Amino acid sequence: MSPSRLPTLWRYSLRQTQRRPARAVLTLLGIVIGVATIVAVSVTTQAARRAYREMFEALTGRASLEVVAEAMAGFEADQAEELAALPLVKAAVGLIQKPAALVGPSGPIPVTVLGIDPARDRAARDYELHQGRFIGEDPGVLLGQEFASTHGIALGGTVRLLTISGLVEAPVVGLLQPSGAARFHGGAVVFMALSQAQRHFDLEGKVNSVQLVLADGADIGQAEAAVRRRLSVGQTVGVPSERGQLAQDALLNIEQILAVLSVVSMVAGAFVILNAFQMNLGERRRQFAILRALGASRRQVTHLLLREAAVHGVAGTALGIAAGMAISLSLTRGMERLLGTAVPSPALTLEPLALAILLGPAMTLLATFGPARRAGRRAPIDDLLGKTPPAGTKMPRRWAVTGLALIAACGLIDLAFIRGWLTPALGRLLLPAAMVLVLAGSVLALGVVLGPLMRLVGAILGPLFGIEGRLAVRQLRRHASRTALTVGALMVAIVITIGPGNEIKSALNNLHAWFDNVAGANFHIQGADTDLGFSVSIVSLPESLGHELAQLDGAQRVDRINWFPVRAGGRPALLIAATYSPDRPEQLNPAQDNPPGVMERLALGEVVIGTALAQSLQLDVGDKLELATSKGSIRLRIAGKCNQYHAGGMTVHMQREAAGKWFDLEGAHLFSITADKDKAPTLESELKAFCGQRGLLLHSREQLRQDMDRRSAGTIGFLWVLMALVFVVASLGIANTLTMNVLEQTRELGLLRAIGMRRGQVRKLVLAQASAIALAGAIPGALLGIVLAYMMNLPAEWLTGHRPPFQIHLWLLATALAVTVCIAVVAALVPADRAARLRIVPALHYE
Amino acid sequence: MSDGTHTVDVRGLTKVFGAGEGAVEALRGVDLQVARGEFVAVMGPSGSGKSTLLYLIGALDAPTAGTVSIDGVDLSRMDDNRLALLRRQRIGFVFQAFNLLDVLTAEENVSLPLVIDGVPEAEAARRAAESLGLVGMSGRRHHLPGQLSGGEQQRLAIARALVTRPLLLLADEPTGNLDSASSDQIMRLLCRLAEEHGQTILMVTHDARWAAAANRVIRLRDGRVADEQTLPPARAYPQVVRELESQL
Amino acid sequence: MRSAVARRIAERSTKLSFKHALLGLLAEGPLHGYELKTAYETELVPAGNLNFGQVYTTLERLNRDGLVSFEKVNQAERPDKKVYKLTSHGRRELKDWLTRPSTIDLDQRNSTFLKLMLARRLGGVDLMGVLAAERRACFERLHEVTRAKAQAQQAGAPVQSVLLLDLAVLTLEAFLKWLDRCEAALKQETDK
Repeated sequence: MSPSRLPTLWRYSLRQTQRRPARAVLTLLGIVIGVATIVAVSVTTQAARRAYREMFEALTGRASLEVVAEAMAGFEADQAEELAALPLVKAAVGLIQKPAALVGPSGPIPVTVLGIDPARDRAARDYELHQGRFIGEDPGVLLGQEFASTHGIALGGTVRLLTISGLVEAPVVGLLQPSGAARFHGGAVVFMALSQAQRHFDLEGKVNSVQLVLADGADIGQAEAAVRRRLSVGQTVGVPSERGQLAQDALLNIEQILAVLSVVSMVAGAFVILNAFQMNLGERRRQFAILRALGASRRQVTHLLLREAAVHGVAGTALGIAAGMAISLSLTRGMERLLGTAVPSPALTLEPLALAILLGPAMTLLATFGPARRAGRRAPIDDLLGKTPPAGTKMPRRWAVTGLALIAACGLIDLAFIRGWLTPALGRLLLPAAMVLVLAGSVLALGVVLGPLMRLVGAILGPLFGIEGRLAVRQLRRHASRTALTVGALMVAIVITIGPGNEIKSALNNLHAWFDNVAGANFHIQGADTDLGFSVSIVSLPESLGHELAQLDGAQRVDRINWFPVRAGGRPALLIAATYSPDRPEQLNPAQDNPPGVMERLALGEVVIGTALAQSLQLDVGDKLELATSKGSIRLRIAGKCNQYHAGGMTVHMQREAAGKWFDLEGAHLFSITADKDKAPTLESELKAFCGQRGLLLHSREQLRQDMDRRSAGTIGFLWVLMALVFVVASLGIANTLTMNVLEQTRELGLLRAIGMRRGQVRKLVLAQASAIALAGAIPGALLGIVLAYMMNLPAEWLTGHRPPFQIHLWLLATALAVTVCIAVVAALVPADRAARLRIVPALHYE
Repeated sequence: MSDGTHTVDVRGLTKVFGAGEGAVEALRGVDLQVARGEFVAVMGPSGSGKSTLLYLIGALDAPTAGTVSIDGVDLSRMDDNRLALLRRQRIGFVFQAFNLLDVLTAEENVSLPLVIDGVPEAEAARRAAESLGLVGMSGRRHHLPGQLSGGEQQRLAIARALVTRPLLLLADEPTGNLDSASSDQIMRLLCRLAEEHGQTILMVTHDARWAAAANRVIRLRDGRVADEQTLPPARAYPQVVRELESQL
Repeated sequence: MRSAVARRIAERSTKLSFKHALLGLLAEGPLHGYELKTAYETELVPAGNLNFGQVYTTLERLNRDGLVSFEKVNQAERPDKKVYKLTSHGRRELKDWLTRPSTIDLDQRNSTFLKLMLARRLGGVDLMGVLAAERRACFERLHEVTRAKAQAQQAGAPVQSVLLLDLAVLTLEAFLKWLDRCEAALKQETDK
């Protein structure tokens, strides 16, 4: 439809919007930021979750149930035949799933080896050959075609695999299309004959998984029950995708921060919209009065405005969805690095789409409803005559009261939190709400504190700006409502920088402190990099390596560490079995309130559990922890708790020898070598040679730490970028308000010029106003930012089981304040120049 | 009056702005009746309450005491929606400051009251064109207000006020922002509307020169009606001119 | 019937110089007496209503002063007629008169002033009532000329008629304003 065919009122709205394109863009940006964050976070989170779910789904193919032993231990291969005989089961195929490292020219690549029965596996999975042939009972292997070409492996070539029995060489006999099981683990799968796998992984006559394809129309619940009756001790049957649970728990922490941030950016976006909309209304008061005088009802005026807002909302939402998808592309890559596992490309599913479509227009309408309604309700007469009633310059008392009430409500929620009155589910819901409350409340309550605040600002700026400073502050105080709006925008910008910023910084600090404790040894040797969920790529190294390493010159001590998923108290958790030493308790990063003698008790076979697990199972020191092992369920006393970042703190720590009693440790997953004093450099060169020969992955402590930072860089970077973005948009809001400020003051400024103020003085006056606004926003903003950061710190307790000490990062505060003042002054430069260049006579006649 | 109902019937109208010591009594019990087809001017110095009276009659503001009835209906009995409906359908406003929407063309401005009233766009445009013709602005229908002279803008505003064929035309200092040639033109237009179309007009002005065009003059002073004068039908102009020339 | 106010307007106008009117009409070419009267009535003052005596006595005086000259023209069956034309002296005099500013004649005689001043002195007379009556009368007259002017403009009347009406409108407006002043000043006086 061409613009001229639009109904008159739409044309009016359209042209009015075109007249202030910058403001329209600002409104759109506000919506885009809110929607894009929500979409990006939601889509990426889903992609990461899907990554783990689909990984196991890809692995199982047509099979709906999988039988495994605890800790993926091996069991007799015959069991597959027994299970296949069950009436509801159509086929049962046994296989071996083991992590290994594919040693390539650029270092080891973590892969999953699937040992399959070439004759029977097609009952569960389809194989689409791209090139070559299928495997037989020979040593040949199959690779995904994409994976092979990425790593420069050709058909007929040889792969070197690092397994528990050392380096194994195998010819590549076929390449698979990227479908079905070849998609597992991001395509890093090596298929070999079951017999070969049994040999390489020391599992003669065994499998560690039986996958069950059910008869057509069989009820999965009945089948599961029937299978369970046939299982021996230590075995479980379940839906394969459940194995991703631990990884998903580990994700929760990141998800929580992302979710809070998306809520905060939504609020900031809404505030930017509110700000732009208020400006818009202020400017158009007379027009609405005209419409009212011509007989438009209150509703018609309100509807007109809401329609404009809704159009912006819809356009902004569409743009926001697109921007969100674009952001999620890079955020997904960041997640991929963080998790150490392939994450599928983000897809816009129904949930984020619905969320965006619901929230985008909703936040716009929410931000504009009040002002639009008030615009409809204004008495047209004052605006028609160009008189602003004295009441209009003051913020309504009602606002202040509402604001204080909101802050009080937020305080109550916080108190409930600290006192532990809330369940985690309720708290997770209420906390973002409380943050929104305190933000909105503070903006509303600004009216009350603005007076004293401006006096304070006046006192600070007085010596700096002299008479112009005093004039500036006086002018700002006279237009309290407009000033409050700008100050509010700035305050929100600062709050959202300081709040999450402080928390991200704190989290990074804690992470580093933890790392330094846990990875205190000089060197670490692994088969391959580990994924964050610790579910798929744990390469076992032969025990014998440990003895060899201990012989090296300069090696003071070699620790062996194993980890694997277990079920603790019915929950998925990560078991870490290490050669803990009583004289180095920091290896565990123990909790502050542990009783003495934890390390001794650990050596006696008790366990130390991560605080998050303790929290989630409601267990404390002295309680018994139930652990599912392949030999049956055991109950071990909890000797202490520790603060862990592995698996989101869902960890169980055992002395390695004690763990060996219950679990088949089959080699070590990690060797940590502590060097003799001053011998680290020589040891390093020795280790390099040692690992080079054997295809092992060597990291120094520093490298590991860098690696950790590199992994988190993508996600953390996203957080910073997002915050910066919100900050920039809020700053645009400041430029907008300042421009309006100058525009509305045209007459006053003209008068000042007429009675002899110099251009420089006018410029100084506007700059003083900007500085005053910046300070007035920055001071409460900084305080509120700290409050917000504190609130974000609260739910950490549920995730990690302990509340990390609350830290305030002064440099962050200082930077935010400095940047704010700079932005305000820069934003004021153009308006100041404009004010200084005002032609006096037209200015005096300006309406 | 044939049916005994006045187009405007104001009784005991009082309006106080503010409260307490700073309260200002703009109107202190004004009675006023305007019959259908009358052209009435309300005169008075600034601060006499004349504009307030006009806005109360036009339902743009509510009185402190007293009643305003338009065509026999008491405004105090109407809610805001019905008042909006009244303004939309029965009253046309002309302001000193024109109050046009500057992003809309002349024709769109004029059609606005109809659009607000839900008249289909095509018909609204047709009637707007008609109304523009009435004030001699047909040639300017696609211009924006900013491209028109003050006099033209006010003619546009009158066209807008007339487009709904209102019962009552309210004009607040319609010549206040105009030079005297444009003012003459506007006043001629109002006289023509009163004489040829029988349009009921209530106009507020502080200037005797424009008030004299009306058929009846009300003088307000300090919020009260100080004097009221019905002016006799004027003689045909050649007669008046001859008389003046004879005195040269 | 002419009101006091209308008379006053006529009186207040700067006195017409009939002599110069005739000189002006002759500047365009020679005319005889009857033609002069017709031209005066159609082009200068339509409602002038001149009588011949006035025309001829003025022409004789002009001739005597050497401002116009005439020649006799014989007519069949009718008395000879004199055709007048401007002398160079007369042309100079006309030009001098046109460029010389008129003495603005502020004829302040009017009965309103007198009435107000008398009412102010005399007890038992409603001063404000007198003033109101004067204003009403003046306003009535203003209404008439205003409407007349609107009609005249609408009908496309000659510019001299419109300007004359304008003069009347503005004079009346000024008078009304003066009445407002009187009211304010006299009220202040009686309030004391």
